Amino acid sequence: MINLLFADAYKLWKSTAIRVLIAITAVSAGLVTWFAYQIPGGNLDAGLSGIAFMFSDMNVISILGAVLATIMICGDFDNKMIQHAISGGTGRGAIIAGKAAILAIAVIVLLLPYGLIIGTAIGSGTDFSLGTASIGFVNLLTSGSELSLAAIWKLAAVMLIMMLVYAAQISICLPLALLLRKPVLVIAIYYGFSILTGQLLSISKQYAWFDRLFGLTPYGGTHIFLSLDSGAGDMMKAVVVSLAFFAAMIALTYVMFRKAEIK
Amino acid sequence: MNQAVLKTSQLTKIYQGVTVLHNVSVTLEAGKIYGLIGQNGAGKTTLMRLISGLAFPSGGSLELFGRQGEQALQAERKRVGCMIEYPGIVGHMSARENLRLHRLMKGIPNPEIEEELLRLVGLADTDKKKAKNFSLGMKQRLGIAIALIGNPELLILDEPINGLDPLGVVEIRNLLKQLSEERMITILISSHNLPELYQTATDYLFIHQGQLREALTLAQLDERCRQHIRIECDQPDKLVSLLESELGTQNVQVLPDKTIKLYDYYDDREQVSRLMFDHGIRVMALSNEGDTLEDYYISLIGGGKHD
Repeated sequence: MINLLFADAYKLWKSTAIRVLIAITAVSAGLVTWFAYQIPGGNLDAGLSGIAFMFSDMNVISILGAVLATIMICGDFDNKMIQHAISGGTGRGAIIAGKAAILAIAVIVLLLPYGLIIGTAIGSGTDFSLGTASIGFVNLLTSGSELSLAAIWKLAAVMLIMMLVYAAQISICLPLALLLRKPVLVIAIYYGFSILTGQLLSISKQYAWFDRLFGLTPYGGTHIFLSLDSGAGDMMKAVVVSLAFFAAMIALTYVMFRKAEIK
Repeated sequence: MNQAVLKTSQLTKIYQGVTVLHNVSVTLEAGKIYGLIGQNGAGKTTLMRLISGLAFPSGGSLELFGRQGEQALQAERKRVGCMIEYPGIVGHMSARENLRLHRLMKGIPNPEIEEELLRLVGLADTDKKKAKNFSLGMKQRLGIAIALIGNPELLILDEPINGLDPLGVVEIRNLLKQLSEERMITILISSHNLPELYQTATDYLFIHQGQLREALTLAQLDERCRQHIRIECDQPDKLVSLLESELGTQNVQVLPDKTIKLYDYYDDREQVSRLMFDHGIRVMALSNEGDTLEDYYISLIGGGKHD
């Protein structure tokens, strides 16, 4: 598995597509921070928050996360990396575990610009707001929490946990990409699914039982609403739910891919 | 007999109710080059995919280096190099980077093999040229180089000379022979270029409609392709009896289309002709011939009929 991880990391390092994706997240992170700075200052109308949301981490990762999965998994069927791994004696379980690990690492790398730009913005002590409820890194930016020197570690921990939550959310692309092998299908299904989970999040506010149930997935609960005010319990819960969901996706993929025929 | 590198027994593959490989039993011995011959859809690639673990058999068994069972096969596949259907390469990488990628994937620490393999397949001068800009022949060479990473003992190559120019074909032929002779690598190679396969392989596996029709060594093939009188007549069974009773020869082969190959009397065709005339057998064709691999293959699968 470690060999596959090294090979995948080398491939990502050499990939122009990954650089483009990181550039997109960097620009998006910059833009959403700029919107969040301009709106409370009155320089931009609060009605523009809808446009700002387009550049939020939640929205961007809904699209780019699936693109990332297709580049790393569907693309490896086209260039026969997966076929070579199997015919070279690598077990299918190791292939799945390797792909899951590199997907999680790539999602974290993809989100790093948000972490850096939004972290820097929070550190500046300036007021940020989009005028509406926010989610993910943008929520962290607009929650109005004070960043003391001691809280820097907590900020880093919260960001890392949110990256983990996003990686767990995107892990659903693992079975999709390994079984469907068609990038367009994977991206469309995941984007549709992310819209659906957004709706389910609204429903969960109305029904406590559904909220508890949905909270067992990285799409529900308060996992993606962590801030500097979040308690250790919430943070730990987000980590456990994410890891468990990730493990469940790996297991599901293994069951489906174990005996799958490969062209 | 050399050590069996690969042994299949009654290997069968059924896709959605269609049997694409039926009870195929073959044994590949170390250090030989096996030419896998068959039409499109005959089951060549399916056999290769089963060996390489990309597909699973519906029946029968598969043994690699004397071991069978899913776990053992997985372990033994580390000794196998493959290029199936088309070379698997990353287009935005150079030849060297592609080799590095596969070297890392196989956990081989030694980067010198990249240069060695590039030289071996004639791609040492490609520098930073991206693989997507390679000609088909260059891609095939790179595919072979990738298959050779890790010094495999069994090399499976599906149509490796597709797209190669005549010089490239000769180079690859020499390379495969060199690998087989110097490193004792067993090679299973499929190709539609039968004249080329005749010059490369030491053994031949004829596969047709999912079934192994024949397995021959080069010597046996040469024997089968030797000079003969080809006869087409209206009573082939009677002629076979007459050849035995009147001319004392059983050195006869009746092909599926009832064409007769007579391996005796090559220089005395007149006597055969007279025999047929005397016994009222009407002759449609009578000619002296010597088979090529292509002729032999066509006669084996049914006299030039394609389905």
